[in-house]
Amino acid sequence: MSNEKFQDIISLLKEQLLAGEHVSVKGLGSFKPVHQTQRFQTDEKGRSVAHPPEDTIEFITDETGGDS
Amino acid sequence: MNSNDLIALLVQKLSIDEEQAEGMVSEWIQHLGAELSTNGQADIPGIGSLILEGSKLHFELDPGFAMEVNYKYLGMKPIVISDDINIGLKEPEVEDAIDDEVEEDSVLAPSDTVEMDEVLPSEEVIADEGASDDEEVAETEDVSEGTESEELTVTEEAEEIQEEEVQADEDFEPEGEEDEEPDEAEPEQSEESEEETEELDEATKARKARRTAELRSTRKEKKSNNIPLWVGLGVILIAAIVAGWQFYLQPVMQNPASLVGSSEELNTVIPGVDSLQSADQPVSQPISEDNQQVDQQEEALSQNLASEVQESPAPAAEEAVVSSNKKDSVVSAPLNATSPNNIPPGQPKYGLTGVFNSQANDGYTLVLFSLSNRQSAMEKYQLYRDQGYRSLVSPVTSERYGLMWRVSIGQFATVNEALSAVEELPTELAKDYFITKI
Repeated sequence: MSNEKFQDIISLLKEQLLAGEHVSVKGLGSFKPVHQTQRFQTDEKGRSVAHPPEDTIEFITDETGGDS
Repeated sequence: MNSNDLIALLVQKLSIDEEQAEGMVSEWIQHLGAELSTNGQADIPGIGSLILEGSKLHFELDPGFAMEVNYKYLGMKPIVISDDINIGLKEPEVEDAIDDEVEEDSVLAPSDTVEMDEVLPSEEVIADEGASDDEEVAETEDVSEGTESEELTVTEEAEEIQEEEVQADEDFEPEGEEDEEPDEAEPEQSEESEEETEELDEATKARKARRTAELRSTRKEKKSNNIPLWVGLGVILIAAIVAGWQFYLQPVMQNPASLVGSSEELNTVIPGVDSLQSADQPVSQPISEDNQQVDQQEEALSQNLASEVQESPAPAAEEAVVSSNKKDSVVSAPLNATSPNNIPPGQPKYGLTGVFNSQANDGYTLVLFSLSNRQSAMEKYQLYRDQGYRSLVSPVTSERYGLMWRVSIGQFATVNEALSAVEELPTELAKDYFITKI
């Protein structure tokens, strides 16, 4: 079965995630936009290094089969 | 949004009934499950892949979608912000550079100077000695003979050095031989007549004068060898400035609205940007609010560019240390070059609010956005500027992402000052910033 058949669902999912929406699909899991703030670390040379913030998507498996 | 919301959206978007939408979603989930069980991986095109690792399901974001999601921070890379460490890293480089220059100078210039200072007087000594020697020998003064022979030896050595350096013509060799002869033939020459001595003296003086002129002209030629190089570099620099003005700055100066205007107007500017980007050159231009300030802004911009040339290697090196697997990006000077004359009196050099100060580009700033769309960046720039912040837009040429427009606010001397300023920011900005060097 081709993914093209599900293109409408995928497009909708993508659209919602880009809008910052948390999307939960029963039986599959949850896609969640996550913002990581700037963080500071000390490298092996003892210097302070600033890592830029980052927006990404996390996926959490729906192990319970529930739907938030 | 849960499954019911998703189904409702599908119904609305595709104009299908709810059962059909439910069936689609259910079928999609079954399809993913089947792929996972057979391949251990299920692709969601444009979003990512679900990968079965043991009993756990791992999600890998599609790189393209990751960029879309992270559009605000594209091109940003970790930077070293320890001022004390940075100074420690940079100073040796500067010192090395200075040492190199000094070494070069000490190798080239001083030696030339030494040659001029030492050799030429020695030749004068030769000429004088040649005359006085003959005269004095003719007068058979024993005391002066010893002194002169020593001086002649020194003179001969100096001339030998000159021979090696200048590759003197044949006229010089007999001269040296002749100069050596006086030591051996002094007693014989003392018996020659004064007329012969005078003739020899005149001939010697003439040769010395000719040789001195040759040596001087040779050295002048040596020194002038660097002039075409510097002239060439100057011409290239001027041509680059003229080209930048002609093809990029001038259209924008003539039509400042293009920076924040409609997309049609923007299109007339973007080709210039693309051409610059393709040439892997950082892009900079002032945002001119007032055409009367154009000259001042150009001056300030040129200062920015000059400081960029001096400072750009250091951040690149730092970023390479922090993340060697990432490609370097080039951050140009902020576009909002403002003449010091336009800064309100009493405004501190650094700060979060006020007017952008081109003199304060040696510190840090709070980056809020890194956008691929120039118009969007300009809108953000204008938004924060209207809110009273020192708003900056810096073009960032990234090998990975291409040309990006980094929008930031504030100019701070240190990272700590920048962190303190964050406390003054509204919540929506305070959670989405990134401190970086200007």
